[in-house]
Amino acid sequence: MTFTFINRLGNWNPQLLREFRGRLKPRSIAATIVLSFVGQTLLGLVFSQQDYKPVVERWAGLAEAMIWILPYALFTAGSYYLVSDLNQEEKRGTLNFIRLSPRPSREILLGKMLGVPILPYIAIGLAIPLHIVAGLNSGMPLFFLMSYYLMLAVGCFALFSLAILYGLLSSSRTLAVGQQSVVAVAFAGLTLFCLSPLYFAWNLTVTWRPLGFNEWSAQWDSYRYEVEDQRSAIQWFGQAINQSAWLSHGFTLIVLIIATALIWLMLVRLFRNPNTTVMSKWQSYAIVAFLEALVMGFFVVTSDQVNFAESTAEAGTWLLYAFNFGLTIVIMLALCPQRASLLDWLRFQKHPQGILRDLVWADKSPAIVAIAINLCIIHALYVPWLLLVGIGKETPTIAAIIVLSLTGVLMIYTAVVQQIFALKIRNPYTWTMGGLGIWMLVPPIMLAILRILPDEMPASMMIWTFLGYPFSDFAKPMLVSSALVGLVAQLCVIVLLVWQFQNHLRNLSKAQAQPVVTG
Amino acid sequence: MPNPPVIATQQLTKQFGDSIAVSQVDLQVQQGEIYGLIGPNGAGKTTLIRMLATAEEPTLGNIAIGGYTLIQNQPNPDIKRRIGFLPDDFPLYDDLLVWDYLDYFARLYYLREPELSQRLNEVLALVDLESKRYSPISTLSRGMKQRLSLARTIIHKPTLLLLDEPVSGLDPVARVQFRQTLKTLQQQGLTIFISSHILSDLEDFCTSIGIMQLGQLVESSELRALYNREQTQQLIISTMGDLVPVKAFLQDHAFVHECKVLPDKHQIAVTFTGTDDDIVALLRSLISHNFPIIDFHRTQESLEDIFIKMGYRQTS
Repeated sequence: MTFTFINRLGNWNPQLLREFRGRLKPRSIAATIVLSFVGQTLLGLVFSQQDYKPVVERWAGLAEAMIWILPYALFTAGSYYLVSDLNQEEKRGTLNFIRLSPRPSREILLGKMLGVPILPYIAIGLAIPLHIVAGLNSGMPLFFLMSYYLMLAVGCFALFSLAILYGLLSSSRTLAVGQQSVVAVAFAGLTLFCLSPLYFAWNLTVTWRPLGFNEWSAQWDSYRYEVEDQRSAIQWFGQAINQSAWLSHGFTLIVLIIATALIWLMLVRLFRNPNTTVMSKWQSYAIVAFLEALVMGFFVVTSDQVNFAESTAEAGTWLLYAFNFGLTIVIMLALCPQRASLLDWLRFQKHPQGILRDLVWADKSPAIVAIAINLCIIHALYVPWLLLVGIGKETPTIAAIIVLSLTGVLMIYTAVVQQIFALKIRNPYTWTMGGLGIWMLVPPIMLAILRILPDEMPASMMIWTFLGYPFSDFAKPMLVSSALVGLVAQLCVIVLLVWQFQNHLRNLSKAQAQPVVTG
Repeated sequence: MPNPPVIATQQLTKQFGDSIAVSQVDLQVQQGEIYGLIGPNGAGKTTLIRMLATAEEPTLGNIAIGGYTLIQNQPNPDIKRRIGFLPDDFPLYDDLLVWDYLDYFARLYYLREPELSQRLNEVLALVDLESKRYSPISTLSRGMKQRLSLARTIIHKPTLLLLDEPVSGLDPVARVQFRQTLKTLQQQGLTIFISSHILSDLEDFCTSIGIMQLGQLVESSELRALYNREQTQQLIISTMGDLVPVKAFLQDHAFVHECKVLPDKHQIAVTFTGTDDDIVALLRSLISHNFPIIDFHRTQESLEDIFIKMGYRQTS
């Protein structure tokens, strides 16, 4: 019976069986079980000692504490295990053997995802009965309980996919300096302090809102999940998504499924070829379109009393500006090929379908055109939004300045990043991130310290626009003309940088590769 | 129709940034051959093997394994099933038992019970690790780990075995054992492509030899052809008496190209250009001239001598 099960499991996914065999040692299982039960006992003790509360309220306290503890523990421990495991495999060189096997990459990665965090799965799994009993005894809504575990499973899948992506990236390139444990702890920290709180914030305001969880919780503590005011309604493209259980679950699940599918497309590609760019060019177009539409939707509302915002026009303009800025920087770092790939593309790739087609689609080609396309995708949504909802509704000139300044500065960044990646340096990522960070932060800070601000010195608007921060009320006409000068300067710099980069590429393609000579 | 070559490459090139590791290699290896690849460090041997094993993508050129062309950026599962690759560092999983490790890889290559257990037993017997089947990998010696890696490489019955410096770091006994295993595998019909620094190892069992230098395959031929082409015949003659008259006699012989006295050993080394019959005639004439000959034998130049003579001095 056991043999048949193991045999079937191994036939279905050998990677999963391998992880079970490596990790499910009697000592580890015993330690996990003990840890889980000790944790549950301690938690039980805390609530059982609250004699001043009725029994049902003590059950409720226990159930609610576990609602928070289970995902935090599972997400943090699981992502640590996954990142650490992938780093270890890459460092040891064993991942290469798995790559050489005829099994599809997705099967191997799925085996990793289900098998590597098996001990956290067991520890959490053992705590589920106590949570369900506590929930049922305290009258927790049944649908909430079902949704809770559904979201835990789906959220876990999405987050662990991200952890594997991070694990593959951090092991194949120098993103972070330090040992594998440091890299894994960094991601676990990100999970603990950012991703898990985000998971709860989203689910509490959207997914679980129609299921009566907040009302159930308010019974025991009326201060926390207070009155149902209108501002707590969440709209996406004008449609409330947290008023009906079908919509809230449908929306959350569809978003998570699309996001996870996009991550898996990157995963399969990176697993097969760890030296390639983080994503292919067409994947970047899909990711940008998806994220832009997703985020933009929250700034299209039918009333300014929803989505926790008083006024969406101005705040939305700048929030979306910041989001677009950040998104493009990340895509830029993910898309720019490094020197070796560029040299391959320059010297050996024949371009049967034309250079332009290569620049739009091919993996090893420079990313400048692809970033321009991504900016077009962003603007295809951002510009109409600015004109219909945002700041451009009343002042289209300002909207135009904002869009052009954003485009200009990001194109300058792209040309510089691509140029740095084409240089012969050891850690292009570190240099790029350091360089970009200094360029983005130091000039505006210095200008601010010296009080060279648009409101006080209208001529300085050209510098602010050039740097990509066209933040002003544009009350004085001088500001607009000053900003226009900044835009022209941006254009000149872009032309100069692209021309210089072209020259650099031309020189690289002429130089011949030399054979390796060792002593 | 003849079988396609097990390995066929065309203009195979690999560039790493500014340096070119493998340059325009055209290679053909036929079924059943043991092909030895030699060359100094940095000559591109490992890169070439890694490209053949699908572990590295070529910058340019084509690879066909068993007649199937490798398609870039694709998983190529049918080709991967035909290949067994053993790199020089053979990393292993210390947390697994020997049996579980092989079971894992067998399943990765779609082996199913009952063939699975049968095959595991076969390879464990072949690499002489039957007694260690339930031992943790961390407890094995280096030689055992190397044999376990070889077992992992052949678990799925590949038709092509790619071995990168497989004997480096092994003690002499383990090397002999390893050579024996390779011979057994060749008898089973496998084509073996092996890179090594140790020419005496290759000489023992290779059927063909390729030499790489500065990324290029500068020589690729059957070992026998290479010997016939490059080797000169040498005769070693010892006498109980004085060497001088013997030397004088030999120098007058028509087929003697060069004659050298080896005073430490009291021997004369003769470079001889004649046939086997001419050698017999020479010995007969030495005896008939009453020279007290106590040793008369033919020596063969080693592969190493040939390569040094050919000018590939960096090859050890």
